[in-house]
Amino acid sequence: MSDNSEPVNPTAEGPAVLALAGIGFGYGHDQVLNDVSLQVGPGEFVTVLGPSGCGKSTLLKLIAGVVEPMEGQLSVRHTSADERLGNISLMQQRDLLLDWRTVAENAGLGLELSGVDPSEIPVQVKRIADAFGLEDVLERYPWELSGGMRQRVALMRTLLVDSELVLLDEPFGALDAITRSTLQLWLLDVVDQQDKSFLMVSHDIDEALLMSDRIVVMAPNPGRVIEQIIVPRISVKSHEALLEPEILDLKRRILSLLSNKEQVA
Amino acid sequence: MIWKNLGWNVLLPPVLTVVVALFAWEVIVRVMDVQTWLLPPPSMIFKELVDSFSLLSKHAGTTLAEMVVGFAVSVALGVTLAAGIASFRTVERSLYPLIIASQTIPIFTLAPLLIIWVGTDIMSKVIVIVLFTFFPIVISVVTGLRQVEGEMVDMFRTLGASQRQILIKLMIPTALPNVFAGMKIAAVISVIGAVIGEWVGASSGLGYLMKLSGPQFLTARVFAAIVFLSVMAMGFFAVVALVERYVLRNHPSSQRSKGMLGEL
Repeated sequence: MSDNSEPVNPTAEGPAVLALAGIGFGYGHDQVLNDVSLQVGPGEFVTVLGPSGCGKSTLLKLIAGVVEPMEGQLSVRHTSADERLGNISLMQQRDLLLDWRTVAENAGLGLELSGVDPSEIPVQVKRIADAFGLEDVLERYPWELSGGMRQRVALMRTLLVDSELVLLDEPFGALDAITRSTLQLWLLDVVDQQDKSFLMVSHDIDEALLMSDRIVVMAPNPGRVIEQIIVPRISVKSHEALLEPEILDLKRRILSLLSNKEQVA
Repeated sequence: MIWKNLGWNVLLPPVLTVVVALFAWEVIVRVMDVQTWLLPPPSMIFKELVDSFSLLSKHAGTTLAEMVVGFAVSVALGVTLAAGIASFRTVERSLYPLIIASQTIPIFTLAPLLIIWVGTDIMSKVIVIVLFTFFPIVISVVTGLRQVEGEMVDMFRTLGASQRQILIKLMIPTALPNVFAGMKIAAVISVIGAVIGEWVGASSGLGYLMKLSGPQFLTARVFAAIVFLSVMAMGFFAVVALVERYVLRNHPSSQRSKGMLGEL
Protein backbone atom coordinates (compact mmCIF):
# COMPACT_ATOMS: atom_id res chain seq x y z
CA MET A 1 0.00 0.00 0.00
CA SER A 2 2.88 2.36 0.72
CA ASP A 3 3.73 2.94 -2.93
CA ASN A 4 0.19 4.06 -3.75
CA SER A 5 0.58 7.52 -2.34
CA GLU A 6 3.46 8.29 -4.66
CA PRO A 7 2.30 8.94 -8.18
CA VAL A 8 4.10 6.71 -10.64
CA ASN A 9 4.65 8.21 -14.01
CA PRO A 10 7.31 6.15 -15.71
CA THR A 11 6.05 6.03 -19.30
CA ALA A 12 5.80 9.76 -19.73
CA GLU A 13 8.40 12.37 -20.40
CA GLY A 14 8.28 15.95 -19.15
CA PRO A 15 5.88 17.55 -16.69
CA ALA A 16 2.51 15.88 -16.13
CA VAL A 17 -0.42 17.01 -18.29
CA LEU A 18 -2.76 16.19 -15.41
CA ALA A 19 -1.93 15.89 -11.73
CA LEU A 20 -4.42 15.02 -8.99
CA ALA A 21 -3.38 15.07 -5.33
CA GLY A 22 -5.68 14.01 -2.50
CA ILE A 23 -8.92 14.68 -4.38
CA GLY A 24 -12.09 14.20 -2.35
CA PHE A 25 -15.72 14.64 -3.34
CA GLY A 26 -19.16 13.76 -2.00
CA TYR A 27 -22.86 14.38 -2.28
CA GLY A 28 -24.34 15.28 1.09
CA HIS A 29 -23.11 12.64 3.55
CA ASP A 30 -22.05 10.22 0.80
CA GLN A 31 -18.32 10.28 0.24
CA VAL A 32 -17.85 9.44 -3.46
CA LEU A 33 -14.11 9.94 -3.81
CA ASN A 34 -11.49 9.88 -1.08
CA ASP A 35 -7.85 10.95 -1.38
CA VAL A 36 -7.46 10.22 -5.09
CA SER A 37 -4.00 10.98 -6.47
CA LEU A 38 -2.82 10.24 -9.98
CA GLN A 39 -0.94 11.76 -12.88
CA VAL A 40 -1.11 11.57 -16.63
CA GLY A 41 2.06 12.37 -18.58
CA PRO A 42 2.40 13.82 -22.09
CA GLY A 43 1.25 11.34 -24.73
CA GLU A 44 0.33 8.79 -22.08
CA PHE A 45 -2.81 6.62 -22.15
CA VAL A 46 -3.98 5.92 -18.60
CA THR A 47 -7.02 3.87 -17.66
CA VAL A 48 -8.86 4.15 -14.36
CA LEU A 49 -10.26 0.68 -13.72
CA GLY A 50 -12.82 -0.13 -11.11
CA PRO A 51 -16.28 -1.60 -10.41
CA SER A 52 -19.48 0.37 -10.87
CA GLY A 53 -20.05 2.97 -8.19
CA CYS A 54 -16.41 3.70 -7.41
CA GLY A 55 -16.78 7.27 -8.62
CA LYS A 56 -14.97 6.91 -11.95
CA SER A 57 -17.39 9.09 -13.90
CA THR A 58 -17.45 11.67 -11.12
CA LEU A 59 -13.66 11.78 -11.28
CA LEU A 60 -13.78 12.67 -14.98
CA LYS A 61 -16.42 15.35 -14.38
CA LEU A 62 -14.19 16.86 -11.69
CA ILE A 63 -11.21 16.95 -14.04
CA ALA A 64 -13.29 18.40 -16.89
CA GLY A 65 -14.57 21.17 -14.60
CA VAL A 66 -18.26 20.21 -14.68
CA VAL A 67 -18.09 19.96 -10.86
CA GLU A 68 -15.40 21.18 -8.47
CA PRO A 69 -13.51 18.92 -6.04
CA MET A 70 -14.13 19.49 -2.32
CA GLU A 71 -10.63 18.52 -1.24
CA GLY A 72 -7.21 18.24 -2.78
CA GLN A 73 -5.34 19.78 -5.68
CA LEU A 74 -6.08 19.39 -9.34
CA SER A 75 -3.77 20.86 -11.95
CA VAL A 76 -3.84 20.68 -15.71
CA ARG A 77 -0.87 21.83 -17.77
CA HIS A 78 -1.37 25.15 -19.58
CA THR A 79 -4.86 25.51 -18.08
CA SER A 80 -5.87 27.45 -14.99
CA ALA A 81 -8.51 25.99 -12.66
CA ASP A 82 -11.36 28.17 -13.96
CA GLU A 83 -10.48 27.53 -17.61
CA ARG A 84 -10.96 23.77 -17.55
CA LEU A 85 -14.38 23.88 -19.23
CA GLY A 86 -13.75 24.14 -22.95
CA ASN A 87 -10.08 23.19 -22.73
CA ILE A 88 -10.33 19.53 -21.72
CA SER A 89 -12.18 17.08 -23.97
CA LEU A 90 -14.65 14.73 -22.33
CA MET A 91 -16.42 11.92 -24.14
CA GLN A 92 -19.22 10.41 -22.10
CA GLN A 93 -20.51 6.87 -22.32
CA ARG A 94 -23.58 7.84 -24.37
CA ASP A 95 -22.84 9.47 -27.71
CA LEU A 96 -25.09 12.48 -26.93
CA LEU A 97 -25.50 13.37 -30.59
CA LEU A 98 -28.01 16.07 -31.50
CA ASP A 99 -30.72 14.41 -33.58
CA TRP A 100 -31.45 17.48 -35.68
CA ARG A 101 -27.86 17.96 -36.86
CA THR A 102 -26.01 16.05 -39.54
CA VAL A 103 -22.94 13.98 -38.71
CA ALA A 104 -20.69 16.82 -39.90
CA GLU A 105 -22.60 19.39 -37.82
CA ASN A 106 -22.44 17.14 -34.75
CA ALA A 107 -18.73 16.50 -35.18
CA GLY A 108 -18.03 20.21 -35.57
CA LEU A 109 -20.09 21.27 -32.53
CA GLY A 110 -17.06 21.95 -30.34
CA LEU A 111 -15.41 24.07 -33.03
CA GLU A 112 -18.66 25.97 -33.55
CA LEU A 113 -19.07 26.68 -29.83
CA SER A 114 -15.50 27.92 -29.51
CA GLY A 115 -16.09 30.46 -32.25
CA VAL A 116 -14.15 28.90 -35.14
CA ASP A 117 -15.01 30.55 -38.48
CA PRO A 118 -18.15 28.69 -39.73
CA SER A 119 -16.69 28.22 -43.20
CA GLU A 120 -13.60 26.59 -41.70
CA ILE A 121 -15.50 23.95 -39.67
CA PRO A 122 -16.57 21.64 -42.55
CA VAL A 123 -12.99 21.74 -43.87
CA GLN A 124 -11.59 20.58 -40.53
CA VAL A 125 -14.30 17.92 -40.16
CA LYS A 126 -13.66 16.57 -43.66
CA ARG A 127 -9.92 16.45 -43.08
CA ILE A 128 -10.22 13.82 -40.32
CA ALA A 129 -13.48 12.09 -41.37
CA ASP A 130 -11.50 9.56 -43.37
CA ALA A 131 -9.61 8.30 -40.33
CA PHE A 132 -12.95 7.81 -38.56
CA GLY A 133 -14.52 5.94 -41.50
CA LEU A 134 -17.24 8.57 -41.67
CA GLU A 135 -16.40 10.33 -44.95
CA ASP A 136 -19.49 8.87 -46.69
CA VAL A 137 -22.03 9.69 -43.99
CA LEU A 138 -21.15 13.30 -43.17
CA GLU A 139 -24.51 14.56 -44.47
CA ARG A 140 -26.55 11.81 -42.79
CA TYR A 141 -28.45 12.22 -39.53
CA PRO A 142 -27.58 10.34 -36.33
CA TRP A 143 -30.71 8.18 -36.40
CA GLU A 144 -29.54 6.71 -39.70
CA LEU A 145 -26.31 5.38 -38.16
CA SER A 146 -25.37 2.22 -36.26
CA GLY A 147 -24.30 2.39 -32.61
CA GLY A 148 -20.64 1.98 -33.51
CA MET A 149 -20.78 4.79 -36.07
CA ARG A 150 -22.55 7.13 -33.64
CA GLN A 151 -19.82 6.48 -31.10
CA ARG A 152 -17.17 7.37 -33.70
CA VAL A 153 -18.99 10.63 -34.44
CA ALA A 154 -18.96 11.44 -30.72
CA LEU A 155 -15.25 10.67 -30.56
CA MET A 156 -14.63 12.85 -33.60
CA ARG A 157 -16.46 15.72 -31.87
CA THR A 158 -14.28 15.14 -28.80
CA LEU A 159 -10.96 14.96 -30.65
CA LEU A 160 -11.61 17.95 -32.95
CA VAL A 161 -11.44 20.21 -29.90
CA ASP A 162 -8.00 21.73 -29.46
CA SER A 163 -6.99 20.22 -26.12
CA GLU A 164 -3.98 18.40 -24.69
CA LEU A 165 -6.01 16.10 -22.47
CA VAL A 166 -8.84 13.79 -23.56
CA LEU A 167 -11.11 12.10 -21.00
CA LEU A 168 -13.02 9.01 -22.10
CA ASP A 169 -15.88 7.72 -19.93
CA GLU A 170 -16.39 4.07 -20.94
CA PRO A 171 -16.49 5.12 -24.59
CA PHE A 172 -17.58 1.71 -25.85
CA GLY A 173 -19.62 0.58 -22.85
CA ALA A 174 -22.95 0.77 -24.65
CA LEU A 175 -21.87 -1.29 -27.67
CA ASP A 176 -22.04 -5.00 -28.42
CA ALA A 177 -18.88 -7.06 -27.82
CA ILE A 178 -17.83 -7.45 -31.47
CA THR A 179 -18.26 -3.76 -32.34
CA ARG A 180 -16.48 -2.87 -29.14
CA SER A 181 -13.36 -4.93 -29.89
CA THR A 182 -13.19 -3.53 -33.45
CA LEU A 183 -13.45 0.02 -32.17
CA GLN A 184 -10.84 -0.57 -29.44
CA LEU A 185 -8.21 -1.47 -32.06
CA TRP A 186 -9.32 1.40 -34.25
CA LEU A 187 -9.08 3.84 -31.33
CA LEU A 188 -5.52 2.65 -30.66
CA ASP A 189 -4.65 3.70 -34.21
CA VAL A 190 -6.32 7.07 -33.77
CA VAL A 191 -4.57 7.61 -30.44
CA ASP A 192 -1.19 6.94 -32.05
CA GLN A 193 -1.82 9.69 -34.58
CA GLN A 194 -2.84 12.23 -31.91
CA ASP A 195 -0.47 14.38 -29.96
CA LYS A 196 -2.68 14.18 -26.89
CA SER A 197 -2.83 12.50 -23.49
CA PHE A 198 -5.72 10.19 -22.66
CA LEU A 199 -7.43 9.29 -19.40
CA MET A 200 -10.09 6.61 -19.83
CA VAL A 201 -12.34 5.05 -17.22
CA SER A 202 -13.52 1.49 -17.70
CA HIS A 203 -14.71 -1.58 -15.81
CA ASP A 204 -13.38 -3.89 -18.53
CA ILE A 205 -9.97 -5.38 -17.58
CA ASP A 206 -9.19 -6.54 -21.14
CA GLU A 207 -9.99 -3.12 -22.53
CA ALA A 208 -7.71 -1.49 -19.97
CA LEU A 209 -4.83 -3.91 -20.70
CA LEU A 210 -5.21 -3.49 -24.44
CA MET A 211 -5.37 0.29 -24.55
CA SER A 212 -3.28 1.61 -21.72
CA ASP A 213 0.28 2.45 -20.82
CA ARG A 214 -0.76 2.43 -17.19
CA ILE A 215 -3.77 1.23 -15.19
CA VAL A 216 -5.02 2.90 -12.02
CA VAL A 217 -7.13 0.42 -10.05
CA MET A 218 -9.89 1.88 -7.88
CA ALA A 219 -12.10 0.40 -5.17
CA PRO A 220 -15.59 1.64 -4.18
CA ASN A 221 -17.20 3.01 -0.99
CA PRO A 222 -15.67 5.53 -1.10
CA GLY A 223 -13.86 5.56 -4.43
CA ARG A 224 -10.10 5.42 -3.87
CA VAL A 225 -6.95 4.36 -5.69
CA ILE A 226 -5.62 0.98 -4.53
CA GLU A 227 -2.92 0.24 -7.07
CA GLN A 228 -1.17 1.61 -10.14
CA ILE A 229 0.04 -0.92 -12.68
CA ILE A 230 2.36 -0.34 -15.63
CA VAL A 231 1.36 -2.28 -18.72
CA PRO A 232 4.44 -3.47 -20.59
CA ARG A 233 4.66 -2.33 -24.19
CA ILE A 234 3.26 -5.12 -26.30
CA SER A 235 4.94 -5.28 -29.72
CA VAL A 236 1.65 -5.56 -31.60
CA LYS A 237 -1.43 -4.26 -29.80
CA SER A 238 -4.12 -6.81 -30.61
CA HIS A 239 -6.60 -8.95 -28.75
CA GLU A 240 -4.29 -11.97 -29.16
CA ALA A 241 -1.61 -10.09 -27.23
CA LEU A 242 -3.89 -10.29 -24.20
CA LEU A 243 -3.12 -14.01 -24.10
CA GLU A 244 0.61 -13.50 -23.57
CA PRO A 245 1.78 -14.87 -20.18
CA GLU A 246 3.00 -11.51 -18.94
CA ILE A 247 -0.35 -9.85 -19.66
CA LEU A 248 -2.30 -12.79 -18.21
CA ASP A 249 -0.31 -12.40 -14.98
CA LEU A 250 -1.30 -8.75 -14.82
CA LYS A 251 -4.91 -9.66 -15.43
CA ARG A 252 -4.80 -12.19 -12.56
CA ARG A 253 -3.32 -9.56 -10.30
CA ILE A 254 -5.99 -6.98 -11.19
CA LEU A 255 -8.76 -9.55 -10.74
CA SER A 256 -7.55 -10.43 -7.25
CA LEU A 257 -7.22 -6.76 -6.36
CA LEU A 258 -10.78 -6.05 -7.48
CA SER A 259 -12.33 -9.13 -5.85
CA ASN A 260 -10.52 -8.58 -2.51
CA LYS A 261 -11.69 -5.03 -2.27
CA GLU A 262 -15.23 -5.91 -3.24
CA GLN A 263 -15.42 -8.44 -0.38
CA VAL A 264 -14.25 -5.78 2.03
CA ALA A 265 -16.81 -3.34 0.65
CA MET B 1 -42.96 16.89 -50.35
CA ILE B 2 -44.91 18.07 -47.35
CA TRP B 3 -48.07 16.71 -48.92
CA LYS B 4 -46.62 13.39 -49.96
CA ASN B 5 -48.36 11.44 -47.21
CA LEU B 6 -51.70 13.07 -47.97
CA GLY B 7 -52.89 10.37 -50.39
CA TRP B 8 -56.35 9.05 -51.00
CA ASN B 9 -55.95 6.43 -48.31
CA VAL B 10 -55.79 9.28 -45.79
CA LEU B 11 -58.44 11.57 -47.27
CA LEU B 12 -61.02 9.11 -48.51
CA PRO B 13 -62.40 7.63 -45.26
CA PRO B 14 -63.27 10.96 -43.55
CA VAL B 15 -64.58 12.50 -46.80
CA LEU B 16 -66.76 9.47 -47.41
CA THR B 17 -68.10 9.58 -43.84
CA VAL B 18 -69.05 13.24 -44.23
CA VAL B 19 -70.75 12.66 -47.60
CA VAL B 20 -72.80 9.76 -46.24
CA ALA B 21 -73.79 11.73 -43.12
CA LEU B 22 -74.84 14.79 -45.15
CA PHE B 23 -76.84 12.63 -47.53
CA ALA B 24 -78.64 10.92 -44.63
CA TRP B 25 -79.33 14.32 -43.05
CA GLU B 26 -80.81 15.65 -46.30
CA VAL B 27 -83.03 12.59 -46.77
CA ILE B 28 -84.28 12.51 -43.17
CA VAL B 29 -85.15 16.23 -43.16
CA ARG B 30 -87.07 15.91 -46.42
CA VAL B 31 -88.82 12.61 -45.71
CA MET B 32 -89.89 13.63 -42.17
CA ASP B 33 -90.76 17.11 -43.37
CA VAL B 34 -88.76 18.86 -40.61
CA GLN B 35 -89.28 22.64 -40.41
CA THR B 36 -86.24 24.40 -41.90
CA TRP B 37 -85.99 26.89 -39.00
CA LEU B 38 -85.61 23.88 -36.73
CA LEU B 39 -83.11 21.91 -38.81
CA PRO B 40 -82.28 23.11 -42.32
CA PRO B 41 -81.08 20.44 -44.80
CA PRO B 42 -77.43 20.58 -45.96
CA SER B 43 -78.54 21.83 -49.38
CA MET B 44 -80.11 24.88 -47.76
CA ILE B 45 -77.01 25.52 -45.62
CA PHE B 46 -74.92 25.27 -48.77
CA LYS B 47 -77.22 27.78 -50.53
CA GLU B 48 -76.89 30.11 -47.54
CA LEU B 49 -73.08 29.76 -47.69
CA VAL B 50 -73.16 30.85 -51.33
CA ASP B 51 -75.80 33.58 -50.98
CA SER B 52 -74.35 35.19 -47.83
CA PHE B 53 -70.73 34.58 -48.67
CA SER B 54 -69.73 38.24 -48.54
CA LEU B 55 -71.57 38.81 -45.23
CA LEU B 56 -70.01 35.69 -43.70
CA SER B 57 -66.57 36.61 -45.03
CA LYS B 58 -66.78 40.10 -43.53
CA HIS B 59 -67.56 38.69 -40.08
CA ALA B 60 -65.02 35.90 -40.54
CA GLY B 61 -62.37 38.57 -41.14
CA THR B 62 -63.07 40.07 -37.69
CA THR B 63 -62.93 36.65 -36.02
CA LEU B 64 -59.77 35.67 -37.87
CA ALA B 65 -58.01 38.89 -36.82
CA GLU B 66 -58.93 38.16 -33.18
CA MET B 67 -57.68 34.58 -33.51
CA VAL B 68 -54.34 35.56 -35.02
CA VAL B 69 -53.64 38.37 -32.51
CA GLY B 70 -54.83 36.25 -29.56
CA PHE B 71 -52.73 33.29 -30.72
CA ALA B 72 -49.60 35.44 -31.15
CA VAL B 73 -49.99 37.02 -27.70
CA SER B 74 -50.65 33.58 -26.23
CA VAL B 75 -47.52 32.05 -27.76
CA ALA B 76 -45.35 34.96 -26.58
CA LEU B 77 -46.81 34.83 -23.07
CA GLY B 78 -46.85 31.04 -22.84
CA VAL B 79 -43.25 30.58 -23.99
CA THR B 80 -42.02 33.32 -21.63
CA LEU B 81 -43.87 31.82 -18.66
CA ALA B 82 -42.65 28.32 -19.53
CA ALA B 83 -39.04 29.49 -19.83
CA GLY B 84 -39.33 31.12 -16.38
CA ILE B 85 -40.92 28.02 -14.86
CA ALA B 86 -38.32 25.68 -16.37
CA SER B 87 -35.36 27.89 -15.41
CA PHE B 88 -36.18 29.20 -11.93
CA ARG B 89 -37.41 27.12 -9.02
CA THR B 90 -38.99 30.19 -7.39
CA VAL B 91 -41.01 31.03 -10.49
CA GLU B 92 -42.11 27.40 -10.75
CA ARG B 93 -43.21 27.23 -7.11
CA SER B 94 -45.03 30.56 -7.13
CA LEU B 95 -46.65 30.46 -10.58
CA TYR B 96 -47.12 26.87 -11.77
CA PRO B 97 -49.81 25.90 -9.22
CA LEU B 98 -51.68 29.16 -9.92
CA ILE B 99 -51.56 28.58 -13.68
CA ILE B 100 -53.02 25.10 -13.22
CA ALA B 101 -55.64 26.39 -10.74
CA SER B 102 -56.62 29.13 -13.19
CA GLN B 103 -57.82 26.46 -15.60
CA THR B 104 -60.52 25.41 -13.14
CA ILE B 105 -62.21 28.79 -13.55
CA PRO B 106 -64.85 28.63 -16.31
CA ILE B 107 -63.45 31.22 -18.70
CA PHE B 108 -66.90 31.80 -20.16
CA THR B 109 -67.90 33.45 -16.88
CA LEU B 110 -64.99 35.89 -17.11
CA ALA B 111 -66.05 37.21 -20.51
CA PRO B 112 -68.79 39.56 -19.17
CA LEU B 113 -66.25 41.02 -16.69
CA LEU B 114 -63.79 41.62 -19.50
CA ILE B 115 -66.47 43.49 -21.46
CA ILE B 116 -66.98 45.74 -18.42
CA TRP B 117 -63.27 46.28 -17.95
CA VAL B 118 -61.93 46.66 -21.50
CA GLY B 119 -65.03 47.21 -23.63
CA THR B 120 -66.31 45.40 -26.69
CA ASP B 121 -63.44 46.04 -29.07
CA ILE B 122 -60.88 43.42 -30.14
CA MET B 123 -59.01 43.57 -26.81
CA SER B 124 -61.68 41.70 -24.83
CA LYS B 125 -61.73 38.89 -27.43
CA VAL B 126 -57.93 38.68 -27.49
CA ILE B 127 -57.88 38.32 -23.70
CA VAL B 128 -60.48 35.52 -23.79
CA ILE B 129 -58.46 33.70 -26.49
CA VAL B 130 -55.27 34.08 -24.47
CA LEU B 131 -57.01 32.70 -21.37
CA PHE B 132 -58.11 29.69 -23.40
CA THR B 133 -54.87 29.01 -25.26
CA PHE B 134 -51.87 29.95 -23.11
CA PHE B 135 -52.33 26.93 -20.84
CA PRO B 136 -51.62 24.19 -23.43
CA ILE B 137 -48.65 26.22 -24.65
CA VAL B 138 -47.15 26.64 -21.15
CA ILE B 139 -47.60 22.96 -20.31
CA SER B 140 -46.09 21.69 -23.56
CA VAL B 141 -43.14 24.11 -23.55
CA VAL B 142 -42.32 23.30 -19.90
CA THR B 143 -42.44 19.59 -20.79
CA GLY B 144 -40.19 20.24 -23.80
CA LEU B 145 -37.60 22.21 -21.84
CA ARG B 146 -37.51 19.54 -19.15
CA GLN B 147 -36.56 16.95 -21.78
CA VAL B 148 -33.13 18.55 -22.01
CA GLU B 149 -30.86 16.06 -20.26
CA GLY B 150 -28.27 17.07 -17.70
CA GLU B 151 -25.65 15.00 -19.54
CA MET B 152 -26.28 17.01 -22.70
CA VAL B 153 -25.79 20.27 -20.80
CA ASP B 154 -22.56 18.85 -19.31
CA MET B 155 -21.38 17.92 -22.81
CA PHE B 156 -22.02 21.47 -24.04
CA ARG B 157 -20.22 22.91 -21.03
CA THR B 158 -17.13 20.75 -21.56
CA LEU B 159 -17.07 22.03 -25.15
CA GLY B 160 -16.88 25.53 -23.67
CA ALA B 161 -20.48 26.63 -24.41
CA SER B 162 -21.86 29.81 -22.83
CA GLN B 163 -25.32 29.90 -21.20
CA ARG B 164 -26.60 31.68 -24.31
CA GLN B 165 -25.20 28.98 -26.61
CA ILE B 166 -26.75 26.27 -24.44
CA LEU B 167 -30.12 28.01 -24.73
CA ILE B 168 -29.98 28.59 -28.49
CA LYS B 169 -28.24 25.44 -29.67
CA LEU B 170 -29.59 22.90 -27.15
CA MET B 171 -32.62 23.98 -25.11
CA ILE B 172 -34.70 25.57 -27.87
CA PRO B 173 -34.13 22.88 -30.53
CA THR B 174 -34.90 20.16 -27.96
CA ALA B 175 -38.14 21.84 -26.89
CA LEU B 176 -39.37 22.79 -30.38
CA PRO B 177 -41.47 19.67 -31.13
CA ASN B 178 -43.36 20.26 -27.87
CA VAL B 179 -43.72 23.98 -28.61
CA PHE B 180 -45.41 23.11 -31.90
CA ALA B 181 -47.63 20.51 -30.24
CA GLY B 182 -48.90 23.20 -27.86
CA MET B 183 -49.29 25.70 -30.70
CA LYS B 184 -51.41 23.29 -32.74
CA ILE B 185 -53.80 22.79 -29.82
CA ALA B 186 -53.88 26.55 -29.24
CA ALA B 187 -54.60 27.24 -32.93
CA VAL B 188 -57.72 25.07 -32.85
CA ILE B 189 -59.14 26.32 -29.56
CA SER B 190 -58.46 29.96 -30.41
CA VAL B 191 -61.70 29.72 -32.45
CA ILE B 192 -63.63 28.81 -29.29
CA GLY B 193 -62.15 31.76 -27.43
CA ALA B 194 -63.02 34.18 -30.24
CA VAL B 195 -66.63 33.00 -30.51
CA ILE B 196 -67.20 33.13 -26.74
CA GLY B 197 -65.71 36.61 -26.59
CA GLU B 198 -67.96 37.77 -29.43
CA TRP B 199 -70.99 36.07 -27.93
CA VAL B 200 -70.76 38.19 -24.81
CA GLY B 201 -70.16 41.53 -26.45
CA ALA B 202 -69.18 42.51 -29.96
CA SER B 203 -70.34 44.44 -33.00
CA SER B 204 -69.01 42.04 -35.61
CA GLY B 205 -67.52 38.56 -35.98
CA LEU B 206 -69.00 35.12 -36.66
CA GLY B 207 -69.94 34.63 -32.99
CA TYR B 208 -71.80 37.94 -33.07
CA LEU B 209 -73.52 36.93 -36.35
CA MET B 210 -74.63 33.61 -34.85
CA LYS B 211 -75.98 35.31 -31.73
CA LEU B 212 -77.90 37.73 -33.96
CA SER B 213 -79.21 35.07 -36.35
CA GLY B 214 -80.46 32.57 -33.75
CA PRO B 215 -83.37 34.62 -32.34
CA GLN B 216 -84.42 35.46 -35.94
CA PHE B 217 -84.62 31.74 -36.71
CA LEU B 218 -82.04 32.19 -39.49
CA THR B 219 -80.91 28.68 -38.62
CA ALA B 220 -79.24 28.03 -41.96
CA ARG B 221 -77.07 31.11 -41.39
CA VAL B 222 -76.03 29.82 -37.94
CA PHE B 223 -74.99 26.55 -39.56
CA ALA B 224 -73.17 28.41 -42.33
CA ALA B 225 -71.25 30.36 -39.69
CA ILE B 226 -70.36 27.09 -37.95
CA VAL B 227 -69.01 25.73 -41.26
CA PHE B 228 -66.91 28.88 -41.64
CA LEU B 229 -65.54 28.59 -38.08
CA SER B 230 -64.71 24.94 -38.55
CA VAL B 231 -62.87 25.61 -41.81
CA MET B 232 -60.99 28.51 -40.17
CA ALA B 233 -59.91 26.30 -37.25
CA MET B 234 -58.71 23.56 -39.60
CA GLY B 235 -56.95 26.09 -41.80
CA PHE B 236 -55.19 27.68 -38.83
CA PHE B 237 -54.13 24.24 -37.62
CA ALA B 238 -52.86 23.37 -41.11
CA VAL B 239 -50.79 26.56 -41.29
CA VAL B 240 -49.14 25.84 -37.92
CA ALA B 241 -48.60 22.20 -38.95
CA LEU B 242 -46.95 23.29 -42.22
CA VAL B 243 -44.66 25.72 -40.41
CA GLU B 244 -43.83 22.87 -38.02
CA ARG B 245 -43.05 20.56 -40.94
CA TYR B 246 -40.68 23.14 -42.36
CA VAL B 247 -38.96 24.11 -39.10
CA LEU B 248 -38.62 20.52 -37.86
CA ARG B 249 -37.74 19.00 -41.24
CA ASN B 250 -34.49 17.65 -39.78
CA HIS B 251 -35.98 16.45 -36.51
CA PRO B 252 -36.39 12.69 -36.27
CA SER B 253 -39.90 13.20 -34.88
CA SER B 254 -41.08 14.68 -38.19
CA GLN B 255 -39.50 11.85 -40.15
CA ARG B 256 -41.52 9.28 -38.26
CA SER B 257 -44.95 10.93 -38.19
CA LYS B 258 -47.51 9.68 -40.62
CA GLY B 259 -48.64 12.89 -42.27
CA MET B 260 -50.39 16.03 -41.29
CA LEU B 261 -53.98 14.87 -41.40
CA GLY B 262 -53.11 11.87 -39.29
CA GLU B 263 -53.01 14.27 -36.36
CA LEU B 264 -56.39 15.88 -36.97
